[in-house]
Amino acid sequence: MNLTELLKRATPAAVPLSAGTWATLLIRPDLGSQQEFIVGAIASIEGDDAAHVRLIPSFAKLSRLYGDSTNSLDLQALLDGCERAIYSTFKGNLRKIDCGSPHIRLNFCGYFSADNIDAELTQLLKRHASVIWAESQDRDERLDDDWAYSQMLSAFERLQAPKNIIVPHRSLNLGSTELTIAFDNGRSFGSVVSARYSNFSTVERHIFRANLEVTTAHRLAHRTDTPALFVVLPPATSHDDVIIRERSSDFLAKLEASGIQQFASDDTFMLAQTLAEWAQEHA
Amino acid sequence: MIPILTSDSYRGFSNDIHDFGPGGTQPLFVGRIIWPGQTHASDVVIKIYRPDTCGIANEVIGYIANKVRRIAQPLNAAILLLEANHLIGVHDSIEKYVDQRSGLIATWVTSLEQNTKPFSYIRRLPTFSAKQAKVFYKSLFCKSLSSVDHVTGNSDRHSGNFLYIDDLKYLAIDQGCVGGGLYWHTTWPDNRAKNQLLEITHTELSGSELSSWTAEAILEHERTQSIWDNLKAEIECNLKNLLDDETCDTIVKYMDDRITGSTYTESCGKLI
Repeated sequence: MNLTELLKRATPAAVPLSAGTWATLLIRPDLGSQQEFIVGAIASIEGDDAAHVRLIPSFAKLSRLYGDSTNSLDLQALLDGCERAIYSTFKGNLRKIDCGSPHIRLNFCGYFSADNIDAELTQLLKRHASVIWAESQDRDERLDDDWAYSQMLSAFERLQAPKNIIVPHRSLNLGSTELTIAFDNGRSFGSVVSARYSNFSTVERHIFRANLEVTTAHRLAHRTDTPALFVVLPPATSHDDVIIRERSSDFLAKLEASGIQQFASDDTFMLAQTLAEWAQEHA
Repeated sequence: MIPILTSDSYRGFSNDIHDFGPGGTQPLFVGRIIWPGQTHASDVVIKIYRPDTCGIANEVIGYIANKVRRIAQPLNAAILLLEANHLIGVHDSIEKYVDQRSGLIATWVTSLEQNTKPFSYIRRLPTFSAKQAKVFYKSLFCKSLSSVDHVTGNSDRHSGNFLYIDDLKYLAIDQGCVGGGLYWHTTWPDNRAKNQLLEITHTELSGSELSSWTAEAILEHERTQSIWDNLKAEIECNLKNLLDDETCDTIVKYMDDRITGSTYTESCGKLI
């Protein structure tokens, strides 16, 4: 076999931009058991002093496997600490890493190359930790109603629209009843809801609750105009998000028929513009 | 043509495959490569051959023979030439696999079919139920593969070298022992190479079942004979630089002798 001659016949391929070695990161939640799960991937790239670390986006699925014995916040805290230890003990060599906890260990996997290190690490980790991968879980924690409200406010401020429609702290006291209301234009109340939760049932529950609050406020304050809901939809980037968008829009159309105004968009700036128009229409 | 890939196409190691069948000693693992014309890395099974063997040439012969004969096997295959540092951590003594002239390691790569969805679980013949085994022996796959194995002299068709996917679908893998083994190029291809599939059928089937099986297998062999000229041309074309001209002629002549006449029929009869 003449490999030198064979090499001349090889199909050319682009040289990868980065090369090095990689390892998987395993967690053993119960030290008395041999059960382990891959929860991260680490790459050491030639000529790069820093380790590239990628952890699974959520520990929700893993924590569910263990029932009451652990929860995702504790697991997240452990892994956050280990990630710090990995960065500080990495000296350009994966084998020298000290994860800082007996629950965590590295499994050296050899050669690694990629054009986009993070994308390749994510693909690898998703492949190796597919059973406990829970990508959408972040939305429950970070893209909730508070997030939608803060996004709307910052977009509204950029429009330099009158701020007197903003209800301080979204807290409205009507008699003995305290309600969460975001906007008041004098004739109508409005609320902001996020539709960026991972499950439509959560979105539905939040829209329903916001609708209940604005209609209650209208009844107690004897407002005659229709209340308004401003809903931040997820972008149509994944199959799940497309379904949530469609179902949210259908649900909002039904609510509109029952006597509210609804404004929905995945662009908070556009939604803020609609809010400014809503404020002026009723001023 | 079987593509020849360099380390630029290799994206790294994924996982060891620990169970590579009876007597398996070669490093075998799942890695990732970018196939020609693709942009994302795919999982592949990578098998490393020592440079003093003709294992890669055998794989090429067996893969092409199965492909032309339309025997189910992994969708893609390639020869991947790697440098030793790309296999760090894969095998403890990788040095013996390095070709001293080029400094490269020759590997045989096939697409990983197990992880198609739903998963195709790899099972050996002993795990088959009696009904599943019967269906397997009756399958066209079993008969045509025994014919191709006879022609190529594949002496390593043990129960780990065909994968069970469901009652009507199987995959042939590992053709490293064409010509009777990994070293026929240093001596001569083995004319008495074992046809393990034939042996299994003779052990497992009753007399009447075996008569019927043999008759159908001989018909399948005739179909192999009818495409032999095309098959031979494709094999010769792909063996360039894998074998020198003389050795290539030797294996083609060996297969020529085994396909013509009644050698397969005799082989079936000898075992009865």
